[in-house]
Amino acid sequence: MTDATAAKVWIVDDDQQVRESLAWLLGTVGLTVCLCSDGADFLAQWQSGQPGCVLLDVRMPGQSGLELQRTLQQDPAAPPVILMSGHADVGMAVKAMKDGACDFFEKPFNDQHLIDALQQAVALHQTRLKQLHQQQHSKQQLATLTSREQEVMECLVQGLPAKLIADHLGISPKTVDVHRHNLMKKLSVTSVPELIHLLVRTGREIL
Amino acid sequence: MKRTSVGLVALMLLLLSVGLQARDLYLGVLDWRDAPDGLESWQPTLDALQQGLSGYQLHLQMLDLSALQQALAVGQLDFVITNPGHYVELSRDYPLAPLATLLNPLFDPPHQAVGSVVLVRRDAAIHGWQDLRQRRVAAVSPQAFGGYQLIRDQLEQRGLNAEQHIGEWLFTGYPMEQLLLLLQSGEVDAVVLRSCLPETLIAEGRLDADWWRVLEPQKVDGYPCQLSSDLYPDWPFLSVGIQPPDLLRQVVVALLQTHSEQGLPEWSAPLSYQPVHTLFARLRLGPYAGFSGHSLLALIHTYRYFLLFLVILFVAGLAHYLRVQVLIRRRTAELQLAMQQSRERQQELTHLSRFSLMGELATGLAHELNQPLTAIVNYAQGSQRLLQKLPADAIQQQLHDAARHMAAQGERAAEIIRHLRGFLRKEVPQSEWLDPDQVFCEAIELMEGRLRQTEVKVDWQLCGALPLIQVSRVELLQVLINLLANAVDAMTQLTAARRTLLLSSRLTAEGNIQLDVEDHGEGLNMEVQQRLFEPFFTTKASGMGLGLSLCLNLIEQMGGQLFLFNREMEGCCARIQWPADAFAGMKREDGEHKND
Repeated sequence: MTDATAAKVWIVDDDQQVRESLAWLLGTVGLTVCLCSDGADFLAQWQSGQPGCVLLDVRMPGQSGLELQRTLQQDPAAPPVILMSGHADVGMAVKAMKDGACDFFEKPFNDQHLIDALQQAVALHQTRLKQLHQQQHSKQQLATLTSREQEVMECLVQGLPAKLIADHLGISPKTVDVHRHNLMKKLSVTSVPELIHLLVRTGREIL
Repeated sequence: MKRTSVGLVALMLLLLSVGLQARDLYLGVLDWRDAPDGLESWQPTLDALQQGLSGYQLHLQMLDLSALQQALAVGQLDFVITNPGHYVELSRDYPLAPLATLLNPLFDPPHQAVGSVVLVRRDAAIHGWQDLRQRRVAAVSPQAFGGYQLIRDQLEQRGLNAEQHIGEWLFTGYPMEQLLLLLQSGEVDAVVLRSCLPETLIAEGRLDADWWRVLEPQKVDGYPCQLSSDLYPDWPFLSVGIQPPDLLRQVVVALLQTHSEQGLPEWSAPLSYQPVHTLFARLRLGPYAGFSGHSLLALIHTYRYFLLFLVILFVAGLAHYLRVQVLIRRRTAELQLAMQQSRERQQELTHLSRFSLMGELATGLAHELNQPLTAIVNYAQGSQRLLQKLPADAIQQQLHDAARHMAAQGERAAEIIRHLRGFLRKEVPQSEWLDPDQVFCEAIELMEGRLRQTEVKVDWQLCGALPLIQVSRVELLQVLINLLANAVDAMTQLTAARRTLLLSSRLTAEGNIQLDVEDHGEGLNMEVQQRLFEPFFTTKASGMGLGLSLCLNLIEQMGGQLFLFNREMEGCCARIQWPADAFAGMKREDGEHKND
């Protein structure tokens, strides 16, 4: 699913000529494009988790580019947004960047700069999607632990030795070892540092 | 007694009763002295008449002025003897016909008999009519002809109003002699008498001649009495109404046959009483009372203050009217001018609003054009990339170049639009630190199309090292474009070879920054030079006349000055100048931040 060749550039612009000329230009450098006439069209075609980036016109009928950008921000797997405008002003650009746009272009644009920015954004998104995927996997693994295994894991993460864990949980050190072995196996880790790394990836805060 | 109105009937009766019964005739005589001998003096006339009349019994009645009039009113009298003035006055109301005029054989001419005399005390300081001013004067009656009326005429002939000039008139009534007592006792300052009365009284021994004298004595040859007035015909003998012709004939014959004996009355054929009429008309008396049109001057004199007031009122009214007319005319002219100006301004505003609409349109147009330009540039750039992948040969190279040019031109067009948009953007102008030379170049870039169209060449002499100025970029651009457009317009009549625009900037020795736009046009004539910065003044058919006045405003707001003057050789120079210290009070923002 997270295949580089499957990466797409969604071009969202109400002007068909601009859309098609962009598609043609980006096609020359081998980028796959998907053309959308407005925000609603884009949301209908886009599927969360698809790698790529959005080239978004600021001024469109209906949902404006900036609004669509804000909507996308709520999805952690959403593609990065590059805004373009025919009437750039500094205020608009600053606002877009603050809202998380990764670049801002004024029409007409220098093709090389645009292509570079798009490729970077696609790469960025692919990396982010990979991370998200791993995070998802780790969470699934964590979910398979029994409650006792989870308690043992919490203690391990705090760096407690088996003896102290056994005292703390009121079980024998031997049982602690069994739990430890099982949870390491379930989580596909071989050491406590690896365990901590996994937990951090899932968003856990470690003291 | 028979009524005169039935005289005809009376005549018939008379003819029927001749010799059987005498008819009564009544003769009324004005008693002016109220003297017992009045009756006596008329007796010879009565006798003569009685003798000449057969079948009539004549009765004489001595009556004073009012009694005589009363007797006439009731138709009591058949004949009347009275003074000329009274006759004229009575003739207004009663049918009186003069049959004879009294003759005084002592006088020459005998019929010029009636006059007035004014007496004053000998020692009185009264020597002329003027001296009667504010004096007390006595007379018998305002109706006495040979008395008050003639003296009044004398006064009025000298422009004196008898009522206003004399302090007080005292009218005593008849007999006339009592006036002398008033004068002697000092109760009055002058008395008006019938002429000859003093002489008669002296002759009769009833008046001393030593204590009085005559005021304003008149000399009439042959007239034996002292006079203060003109002379008028003597008393008339009048018939009342229609009398039988036979009777009239008898009366006239009898009267004319009277003979002078011992100074007694004698009669002659009737004289004209026109002088009396004339006098009365002058005095507006008797039949002429209330007859105002006759003596216009007298009327004017009487009402002179009122007339003067009217004249002043009229003149004031006229002046006011003229003033109002002048004001109205002036206001009308002003109003018309104002209306015309307002109409012109309205047209200018309409024009202006069209311009501002153009600005709006241009803003939208800039956006619309930007989209296709973007598409064109995209295609051109894509084409370039594709062409690079083809094997390099001549055609590939040419196509590649063409695509590059397309992209470059598209970008250039977009750049122009971007500038235009920046210029048209509705923003509160913000001052920033700018290099004047740079703004100059930008203005030329914006004007480039126009310059090429009009085939105007541009010569540059920019300083390149001017200090920065703090102004609004858009506003300075606006001013420069305006000046450039003016310069271009000034040269449209020239041959293309001479259409050169000289742009220069310099820093003077005093530290002033100067930007000059010079053309080779006709320059400015005197009128234009004076009205240059007047709003809505324009020499261009399509112009609004707002350009320069706006420029001046903007430049002054920027702390600079705008001059337009003729060049020495030809054409005109527009100069923007900032004094050395124009921006001395302002610090560059970034500098301030650093200090913070």
